[in-house]
Amino acid sequence: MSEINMEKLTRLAHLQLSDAEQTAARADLEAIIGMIDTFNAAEVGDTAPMSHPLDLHARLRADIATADITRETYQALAPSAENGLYLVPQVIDSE
Amino acid sequence: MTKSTSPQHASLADLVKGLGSGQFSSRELTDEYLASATDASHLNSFITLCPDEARAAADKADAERKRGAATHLLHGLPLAHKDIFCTAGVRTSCGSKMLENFIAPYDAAVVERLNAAGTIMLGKCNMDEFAMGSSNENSHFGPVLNPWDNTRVPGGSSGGSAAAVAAGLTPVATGTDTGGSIRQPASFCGVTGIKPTYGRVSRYGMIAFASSLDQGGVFARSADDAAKVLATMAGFDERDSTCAQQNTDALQQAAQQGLAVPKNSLTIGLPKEYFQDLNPALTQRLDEARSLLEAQGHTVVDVELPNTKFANPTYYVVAGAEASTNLSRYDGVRFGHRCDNPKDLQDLYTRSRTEGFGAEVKRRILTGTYALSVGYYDAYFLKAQKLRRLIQQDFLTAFDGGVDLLLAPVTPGPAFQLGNLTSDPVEMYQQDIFTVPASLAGLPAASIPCGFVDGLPIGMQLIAPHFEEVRLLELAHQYQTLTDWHQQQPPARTAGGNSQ
Repeated sequence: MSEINMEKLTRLAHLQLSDAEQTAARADLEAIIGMIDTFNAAEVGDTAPMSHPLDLHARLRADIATADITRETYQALAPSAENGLYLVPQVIDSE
Repeated sequence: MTKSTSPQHASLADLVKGLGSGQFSSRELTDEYLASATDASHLNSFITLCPDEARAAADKADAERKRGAATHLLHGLPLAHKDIFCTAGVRTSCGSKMLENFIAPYDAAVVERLNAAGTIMLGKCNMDEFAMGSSNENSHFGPVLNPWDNTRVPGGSSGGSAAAVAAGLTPVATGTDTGGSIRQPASFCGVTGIKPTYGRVSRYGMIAFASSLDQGGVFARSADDAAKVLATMAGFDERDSTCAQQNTDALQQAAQQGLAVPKNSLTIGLPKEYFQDLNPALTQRLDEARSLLEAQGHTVVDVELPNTKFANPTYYVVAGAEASTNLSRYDGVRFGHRCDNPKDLQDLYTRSRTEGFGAEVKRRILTGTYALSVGYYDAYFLKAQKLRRLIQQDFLTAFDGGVDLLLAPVTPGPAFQLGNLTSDPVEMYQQDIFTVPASLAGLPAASIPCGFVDGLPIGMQLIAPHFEEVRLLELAHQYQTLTDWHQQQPPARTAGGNSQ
């Protein structure tokens, strides 16, 4: 197992850990990855990877707009929405 | 322990008969279960009880019965749903702070089908956050206590559903199983729990943890009861792109007529890898079950599933990777928890997720993120996907070789003490070693009560080929006509809060 880059991992996962939490999380992850690494003893050769237990492909429905549930209904669940828009902090400078 | 005699612990068949004959109304039944759930609130098996909605639905069911409109077998029967199934108008928290105020705008397919059958939802059961856990200690709403011993865990992640059925707070409950989340708590609480074939039950409206593994199922007091509910839940649903187009005729027949015992003698395989170094008392319980089944004319043979030892590492890569992807939708923008006063968009995402997720969910997300990150993808995710196929091939080889069903332990031992494994995630993950292989292979599997170890209930696992739920349930039913382990009920709570 190569060294775990906690800073990179937490950034990718959009999580924030204090120094103490990061130390504990690193120890846990090292133990978990150590457990996972035991599968390195397995010979998999050119076995085809399996992403679905029934080897089915996800069906696609017809590309037709439906409105069983309205935008208003969904936006009523949002922490902050106004005039049909989800509100988030400003991301583009106004100048 | 005592054998069940009270109406609260009656079988679904008896409840159906009682409703049909007018012995009791749906409202009376509902009131009784609601009162039991309130009395047993110390178990913490419900996150949300719905007394008003349940009574209104029960009154409606009684009125329908009066005018001859009670056409479905389950009409007027109370039940509970794991709080992972979306329910329109009733909070769906998934055991998380992230969704503690989330009210879904629609019903999950499972809920929709059971509602259409005329069932009465008593409430939403407690669970490990986002179904990640083997003890129900990871719920934002506090741990669930095992009704058999309040100092012990009920198992997880569907611990609330299992405890509620065991304690007689509901006749049946829904659950989900990603790596053992129905079978392990069923074993720990002494109830019957079945995870059907992947794709048998629609995942529409079932909050996603690991999409290629998640499957809805049932907790009940017997295989016969489980069959009745499963038949109503199962079937194709175009809204779930991985739902199987498989007919449910045999299940429907079993539900309507009651389960039969197997017509022919079966060949039951014992996977030797599952019995190495197994708890001796548990081995004895499984030997007793095996002898009983042999006495009914079934043949028991040893089988080998050589890749079993790789199942747990494979599962924790696949499930972690899928979880890290699925849970990326919780960003504080469209629904769920949002942090106060975010300074920018990154801060909004990061702090909302950091505040909203608990420790185990963060651990799984980080594991999955690691396995999917540049430089590690082939070594972890791709390798796990290849191993997953080899694990499935082991099962298929056994079934192709003439084995009809497999009999195995569900767990390494009986329910453990609360807090015993919380500081060691790897040790906690070892609780899943006997349940994850069938999950990875997408096979139907059940936990059937088969006795007690150290005064605590324990289950045996039956695993069947894809879509052979009826074969599995028939053998379980035959076993349950010969034993009464499934009818045992936990003692009432004592003054000290411990039922032992």
